Amino acid sequence: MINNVKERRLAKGLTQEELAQLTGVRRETIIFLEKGKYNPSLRLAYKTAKVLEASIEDIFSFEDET
Amino acid sequence: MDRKAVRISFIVVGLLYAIAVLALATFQLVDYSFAIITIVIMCVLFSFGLSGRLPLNREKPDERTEGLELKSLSYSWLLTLYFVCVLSLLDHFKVVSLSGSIVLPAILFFMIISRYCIFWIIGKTGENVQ
Repeated sequence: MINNVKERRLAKGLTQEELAQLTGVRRETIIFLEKGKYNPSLRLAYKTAKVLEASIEDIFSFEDET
Repeated sequence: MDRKAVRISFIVVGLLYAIAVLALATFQLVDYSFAIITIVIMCVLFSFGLSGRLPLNREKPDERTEGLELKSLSYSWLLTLYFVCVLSLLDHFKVVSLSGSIVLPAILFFMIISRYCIFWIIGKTGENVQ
């Protein structure tokens, strides 16, 4: 799973802490999410997309390993 | 009760407990196994005290933290099972002579330490918990 959360967050002028508060998670979760080391739940992906004013598909994309 | 009050109360209880045990040990009223159990209980009190959390009224962690906690607890139980197997073998083949007063606090201590170590390791490496 790859994402462009960091680029979209910076474009909206949000800090990691602010995004964490808006999505209801800890800042560490946002850090690992941006690094691609954590695959969010559908709920968190939806909240993130809503805060960043984009669709889930615009932010998250799945790389097929096969 | 807010987190600060919980933290202070647990630290105070832990310190009082430590002072009491030190006083008992000074007058040789406690033995070795009791001292180990006391250390384990103190570790639990201090760990709850320092984090300012109680198991029952703690604030709900976010989804990643919750996943990490569940995973670290599962691994901790599994490692403890292996630990008990090793202790059983050691006792069976008379490598060491173990009694309940040694094994029980050792298991308690191992479970607590391994849970925190695994939580820290998984949290740092960023392993996907989904």
